[in-house]
Amino acid sequence: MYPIIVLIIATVIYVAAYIFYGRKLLEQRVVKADPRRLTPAVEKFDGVDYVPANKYVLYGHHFASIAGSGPIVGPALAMAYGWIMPLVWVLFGNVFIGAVHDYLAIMASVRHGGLTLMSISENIMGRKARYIAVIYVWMALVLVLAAFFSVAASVFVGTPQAGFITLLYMPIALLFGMLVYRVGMNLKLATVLSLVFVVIAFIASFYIPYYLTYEAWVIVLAGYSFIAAALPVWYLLQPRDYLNAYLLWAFVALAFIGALLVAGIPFTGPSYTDFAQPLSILGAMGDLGKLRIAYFWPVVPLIIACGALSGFHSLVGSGTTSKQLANELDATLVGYGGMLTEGAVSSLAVITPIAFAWDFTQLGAMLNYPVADMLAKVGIKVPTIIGLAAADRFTVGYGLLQATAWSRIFGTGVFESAFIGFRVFAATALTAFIVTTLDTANRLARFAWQELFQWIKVSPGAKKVLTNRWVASFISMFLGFILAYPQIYVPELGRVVPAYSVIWPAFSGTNQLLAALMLMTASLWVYAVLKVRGGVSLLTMVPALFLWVTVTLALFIWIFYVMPSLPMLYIAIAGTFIVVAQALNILLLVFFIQGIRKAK
Amino acid sequence: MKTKEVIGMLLTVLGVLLYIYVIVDGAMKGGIGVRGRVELTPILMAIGMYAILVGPALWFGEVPTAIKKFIEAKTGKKLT
Repeated sequence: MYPIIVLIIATVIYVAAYIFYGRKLLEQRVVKADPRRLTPAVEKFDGVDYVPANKYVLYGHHFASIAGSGPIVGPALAMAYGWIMPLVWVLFGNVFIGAVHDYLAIMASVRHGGLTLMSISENIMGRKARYIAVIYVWMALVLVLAAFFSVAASVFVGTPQAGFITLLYMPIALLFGMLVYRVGMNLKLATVLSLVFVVIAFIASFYIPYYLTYEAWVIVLAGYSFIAAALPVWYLLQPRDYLNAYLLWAFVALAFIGALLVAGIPFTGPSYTDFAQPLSILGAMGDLGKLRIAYFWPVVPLIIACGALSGFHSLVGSGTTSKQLANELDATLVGYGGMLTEGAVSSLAVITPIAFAWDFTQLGAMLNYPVADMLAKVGIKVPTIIGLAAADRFTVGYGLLQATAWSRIFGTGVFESAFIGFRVFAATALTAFIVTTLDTANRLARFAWQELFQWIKVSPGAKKVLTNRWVASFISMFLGFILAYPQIYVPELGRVVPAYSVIWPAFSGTNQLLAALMLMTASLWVYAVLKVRGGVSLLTMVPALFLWVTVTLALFIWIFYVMPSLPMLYIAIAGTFIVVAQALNILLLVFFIQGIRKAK
Repeated sequence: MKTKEVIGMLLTVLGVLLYIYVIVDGAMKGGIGVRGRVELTPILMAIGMYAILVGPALWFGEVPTAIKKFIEAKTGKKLT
């Protein structure tokens, strides 16, 4: 298989899906979006959370917030199956589940005054359903924080240049926001100016890398998410995510161009292979591999999260995005388009490069260049990409594909420097995805925590303390921090691995199950409130139920086969979360069935 | 100037100064901190980041005029 063929297939599928499924079906036939209807951002404007945004700014925010490490780390882990199955799951999941789920989450929230999907579930499934959903969501968000603290810290340790860029990126984003909102500078001029600063920071990072240990990075990131989650959205979140979108577009565009430039060179990776290969890093999922039960179905949702679909997106969509939507018609670009763009990241910028650069010796032979020796010089001494941790698979795969592409134009003399430069660029893009998600996740966890105390009865004094926005932010952040802080020793590898290797399946599973539950809620909204009947209503119901069955089965496998082998800390927190989540999940299914019956 | 704004201004200045110091120091030494160890300069830069995040929010905290005008035009209501 050649990268160019994957590129063509993915592009055709995404363009067709956006036009026919997104615009024609969802926007025009299901939701009947109306540009004249006032959105909550305008009607309930408060200057902190309800603030209308330009649709491209909002697309940038939504895309950057939903795209955490999931679209990259998940598919990179799933490459242990070879490249075909992860690619099929990403394309199928994007078009029929993920993008539908994201779009409906935004629109259902917009039509309910900017309420979260949990609150909407009260209207259609009753009050109990709402609070069960709130508890579930809060637990899922703590796992999101834990997984992302850990992934980001390990990437920053491995690529210290990315740490430097990230620390400069925040002030640049603030400056951009000030220039646009306060000074009144023209948007294009402010964008160009800010992007020039970002490029300068990128170049400077090679001369001034920023070194911290893994544990210290986890502390810095936890502090960042705590502070940033309490700041007004127009101040940091909107401008930073707007600028991020340029970075991320450049990242996807380069993946696209790279695939074109290496058109005649085939993948060096297998199309399908054994999940538990010798020397491959599988983290907690390795136990399933050893037991020979890591079947692609139903286990895949424990591995590939946001790249195909994600419940976290419904929280962003109905949490922060819906409160910033200035016009109903903007939701298709922001919600449906945002998810397809995220899928493009997974399929074109992660799966394709890793499949291309899989076997370093074979790649070197095809290019007539000592790839393995060059990698050994920078400390990568494994024969295949599957021997690297997930985040490194991605940065090395992306760097090697780009180095190959550009050395075809400028000669192999640039191969090594191109590899180093693009590897740093890939790490920067990955951390930009994650850092934006950290404060959004903590903000949403705060909303869920505060919402919980509308139900749980405590004394007024205790309620005031527990729902204070700083206290609420701290509790979620702190639990995520505890899970992310340790590094885990793996005897088979003889070394420690970052905590995300262990947390990932729990994070991914709760996240995917949340997607199933939220898609069921959105489907019920379409059926009961919008009164959509017949085949069109099945287009959302059937994927929701398929996903529910898949993830519920996968999580039972996790509880019985993976959880017992984890360190006690993870059994106590992540294990408890998953077991409780499964119980709540069954309850929510019951409420869903009751809701359908009532709507009939 | 209100107390909140003064604190915001001081934090902003502190953050910017910390950034300048750490970056200049890092440029002279070829990096900020040392791989595998926790040094003072990277910590100072992280503190600078927190100060820069919070400082301007306190200093210029209110809703920008551009957003206010947009809302007033859309809703026909005067915002206080």
